[in-house]
Amino acid sequence: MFFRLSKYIYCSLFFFVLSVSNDVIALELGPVSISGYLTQNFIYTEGNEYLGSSKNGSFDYGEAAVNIFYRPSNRSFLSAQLISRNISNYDKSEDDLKLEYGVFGYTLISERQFDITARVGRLKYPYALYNDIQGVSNVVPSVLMPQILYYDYFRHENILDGWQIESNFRLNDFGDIRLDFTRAKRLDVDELESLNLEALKSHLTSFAGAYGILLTDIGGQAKADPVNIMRIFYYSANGRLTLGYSKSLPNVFTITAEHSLASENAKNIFTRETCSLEYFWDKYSVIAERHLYKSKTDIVIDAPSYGGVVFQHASKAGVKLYYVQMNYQINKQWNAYLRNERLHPDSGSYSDDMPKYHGIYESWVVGGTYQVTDNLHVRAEFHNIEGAVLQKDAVRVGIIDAAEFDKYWTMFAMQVSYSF
Amino acid sequence: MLFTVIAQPSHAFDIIVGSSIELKKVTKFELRTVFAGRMRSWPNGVPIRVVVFDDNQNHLDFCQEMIGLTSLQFRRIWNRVIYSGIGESPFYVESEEEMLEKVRDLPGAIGYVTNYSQEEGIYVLPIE
Repeated sequence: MFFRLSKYIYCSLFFFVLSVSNDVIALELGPVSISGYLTQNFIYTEGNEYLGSSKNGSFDYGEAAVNIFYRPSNRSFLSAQLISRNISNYDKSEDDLKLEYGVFGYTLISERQFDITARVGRLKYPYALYNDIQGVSNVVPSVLMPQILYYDYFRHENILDGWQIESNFRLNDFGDIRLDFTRAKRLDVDELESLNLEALKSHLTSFAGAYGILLTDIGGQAKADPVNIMRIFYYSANGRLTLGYSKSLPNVFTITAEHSLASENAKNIFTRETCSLEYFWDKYSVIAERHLYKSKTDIVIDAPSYGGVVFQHASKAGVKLYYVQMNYQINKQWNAYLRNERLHPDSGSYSDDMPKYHGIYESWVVGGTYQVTDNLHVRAEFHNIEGAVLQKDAVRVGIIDAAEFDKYWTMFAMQVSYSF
Repeated sequence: MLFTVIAQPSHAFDIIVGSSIELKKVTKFELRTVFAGRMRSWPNGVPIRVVVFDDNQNHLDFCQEMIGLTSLQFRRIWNRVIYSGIGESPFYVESEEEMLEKVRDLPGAIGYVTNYSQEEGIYVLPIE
């Protein structure tokens, strides 16, 4: 344990020593630009646990990262982020630095009215306003981003290997538009394929059981298509308004499981779409996002050896969520914010065998930031929450053990972050 | 190549660039996209390097008057560019001498001064 912790601390000290003598944004070492950050969070909850043993107060959420940017030529660049992260002993990387992203980029076209840049390599899931910078505390507007959209437990799912095209169109008095398209493979795809296949096998076994058949050695395989993500942002000419639309085009899992007596195949199709808004005027700003998540499952079981029994089943599920956050810049040092978040599943997504509050999430968050220096901030916030969907999801994927959850719970989160 | 152009009297700041920039003028809208990190290369392909003062009154006024941001919003926008790996940080300078030196020496650099006097290798970019 000490060894693991010490690496985390050494990493933090390294960044601190690099930056403490100079209040800088980034270090320029010849042609290489280096920046980084260190963030430590403290979470205390009453009711349910979240991100660690939080009922007793938990420091189990922290990270340190270093970013490197290098231009071999005018049109090309290499950029990478190495990260050491610990989330509740679950997403634990303090033993070694993980490559969070690492891309080679090339500016294909650079005109006054538009430009096009291609990137290839390891990318952060480019989705909505904050997905590709989640965890960068000097950019995001709170200690914990709205968990119903930016779920901290699932940070590791935001890593993709693939390519991206980004284009920017400048329309003068009308404003400018950024459009990006990404096609990539998720890093945890093997784990997801395995989960999908196991779910289908379980279905087939139970179906056969209804006919008194015991199935053994069911083969099968699952295949996930690469993820396609489209994102468009509009920025008004005065720079105050940002409108965004993100869509993860159908993410398809094709699964087959076979036995000599029966075969089963299925398709799980997931779609996400999010509308985003950011507006600021003077000392006020508002951020709002609305997210829709839909899944569709089609299962066919064919058992020709038993009179050609064919079982077909189709189901749909989905959730709708939104959040709105108001920010007020009191002065150069102090900022205050208030946020409301809500998640409700579609009516067909309720399961009779679980309490309804396991499928919802409603919260009010009030918080503030104290900017100690340009590079150092302290932030604290209080959450008043109804619903246990975050805990239920964590159980579903095996992050935490199943337990009884409270319907109403509260959370206090505090953060110290240093960046350079 | 050395250009000397009289600054537009309606603006409190002179936008200065080095000789690697082949633009003859710039719109206020283009200035905003450049200083907000959304235009990252000049039309001739040279990467844009933004040079600003380190949070002095000039920087606060420049952010407010020319790009409509507070200095904190400016920093947050650039942090997004830096930490998402799509661009390089602005250079922060302490004095007008340092500003002139950076803009002259750094290919693709753009900065601003309040009282421009003719300098070799630097010219003022008129705002349309």
